[in-house]
Amino acid sequence: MNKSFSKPSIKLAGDSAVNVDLGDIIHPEINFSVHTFATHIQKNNPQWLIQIIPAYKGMLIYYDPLSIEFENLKNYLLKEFETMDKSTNNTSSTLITIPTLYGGKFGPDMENVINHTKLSKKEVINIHSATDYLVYAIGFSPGFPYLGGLSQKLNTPRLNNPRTKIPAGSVAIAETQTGIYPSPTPGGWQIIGKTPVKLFDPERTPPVLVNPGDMIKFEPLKNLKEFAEIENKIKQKKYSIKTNEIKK
Amino acid sequence: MKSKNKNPSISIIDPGIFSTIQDLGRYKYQKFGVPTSGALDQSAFTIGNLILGNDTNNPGIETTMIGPKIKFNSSEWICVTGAKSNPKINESEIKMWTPVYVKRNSVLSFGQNTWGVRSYILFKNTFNFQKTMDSYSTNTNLNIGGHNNGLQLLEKDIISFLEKNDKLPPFTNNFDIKKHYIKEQDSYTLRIILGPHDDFFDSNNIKKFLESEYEISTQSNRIGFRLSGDSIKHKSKSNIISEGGALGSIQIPGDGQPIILLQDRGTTGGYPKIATISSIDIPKLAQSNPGQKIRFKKIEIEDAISIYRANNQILKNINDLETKDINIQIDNNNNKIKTYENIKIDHQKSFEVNSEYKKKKYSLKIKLS
Repeated sequence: MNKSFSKPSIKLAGDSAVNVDLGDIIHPEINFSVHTFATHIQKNNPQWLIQIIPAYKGMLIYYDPLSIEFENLKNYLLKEFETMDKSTNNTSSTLITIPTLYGGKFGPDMENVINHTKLSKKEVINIHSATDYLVYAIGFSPGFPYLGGLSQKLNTPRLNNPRTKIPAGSVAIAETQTGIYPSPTPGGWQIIGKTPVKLFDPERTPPVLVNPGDMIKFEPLKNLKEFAEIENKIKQKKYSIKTNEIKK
Repeated sequence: MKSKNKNPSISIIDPGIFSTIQDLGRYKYQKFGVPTSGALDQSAFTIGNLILGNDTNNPGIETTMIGPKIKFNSSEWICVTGAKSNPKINESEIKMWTPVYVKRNSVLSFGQNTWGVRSYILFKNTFNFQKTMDSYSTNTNLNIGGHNNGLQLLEKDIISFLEKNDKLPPFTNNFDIKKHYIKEQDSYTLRIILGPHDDFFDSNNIKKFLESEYEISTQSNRIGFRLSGDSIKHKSKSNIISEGGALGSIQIPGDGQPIILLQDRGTTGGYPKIATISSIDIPKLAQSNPGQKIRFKKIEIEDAISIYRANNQILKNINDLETKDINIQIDNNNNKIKTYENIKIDHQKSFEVNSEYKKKKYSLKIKLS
């Protein structure tokens, strides 16, 4: 069953942007259409295109109003969606492994999660690191991946009192979501671990490590020593992220 | 100009309330979650660069409420635009919206704003530091960009310029503040285009939104302006699945008090957006203090695009050098200011300047080679 709209829903977002929705729920199939369509338009690279921000179920397209009439823009998007290759055969995705040290000083909310879920620390780690999570979108803060697919068993509410600063690299969960904080920001998610890997680095091209449509897998680290070793290698630019191409 | 500019730079004696380095913004990185940032009043910023004959994206300093005190370690051409901030060079007032030659060791300072919030100090020269992700703009919330790891200007900062300092601004321009910039008003009307989520609200609430007067709240900054006034109720949901938010989009959170998204906004967000402000009306907000009254006026997208294009054409005319009238200001050796206005150029080969400053007459003949 196709969960996506049969044609894009195009809505005005001022005089220089349009919202293009391809569905109305969070679903991997809709999200796949979003990234396929966004990539398709980017490849065409029309003269009026400024930037596309893909998200869960649609995208915001910034355009140059000096270069195109709104009606023509709308017709272009409808036509391109109709004619583009929407086949999902032979598509692959990049699986990125994120080494993570769970609990201890890097996972100050692990106890909360254990108490709420009635699971052991080992079970929490096993469940969290067993799933391949889809990166639905990048947003909220630079390089922050919106991940989907957290096990219901780990469902834990947000903190009553959000932290004013979450350390960069923190791995956190909230209800059915999980994520990694690339830079220190305020937040109310339960922090269960930390990765030494830099998800966002303005000096790097591109500055992000993961892209929408990629999959993320967490790999538990044994101890602080392992964490420090990777951290050192990253500093010396000797660390390479483990990535695999996987079939969808 | 044969000034000895060994290490062209400026030193920050006093940073003012909140001054940051900005350009037009960081547009290509939003898909990575990086806000655009950039000058809040893009109109004043662009005009300043046009007056100096610069690329419109040449970086400058955005001031807030009270501007900085800056010592010039090299002679530079500058142009101050935006809020009426009463700029001075060595205690002598200088004109805004015109190229001003600032001699080495002079100090630029500002008085109290008599209108508006943000001024722009634009330079003929360009800063000599690495851009971050293709832009000089500073985002102090995320510590991205600018001259010093995403920080605002601080006391004792030294900001270097490129060595080249032989460029002159155009001798003339067509700038006319009445034609090219915001008109001072007690209450601003901001033109809006409904959407993308106007269908989250019934017609009564949209009517209320369009007919109410709102006040800009004190909780307003470069991320967004919060408004206080009539609450707008959602039909049912007050959340959406997170998605990109455009500059000037007006989101309505659960409490019904509108928030206008500005340059430092996060790239994605989860509140429904009832309408979006016409790009060319954003500078009115940039120059509004907390307490400023605003109203919204609905326009159609076709009209919004016509207005956008007309505005672009008007700005282009600033640099259309048909006219030969000159309006420049020079800081002379005694650090006194001479103002030359409406100088006639004779076939662009030479011109004569007659001016009066403090009852003293000046006459100057300039040959153009």
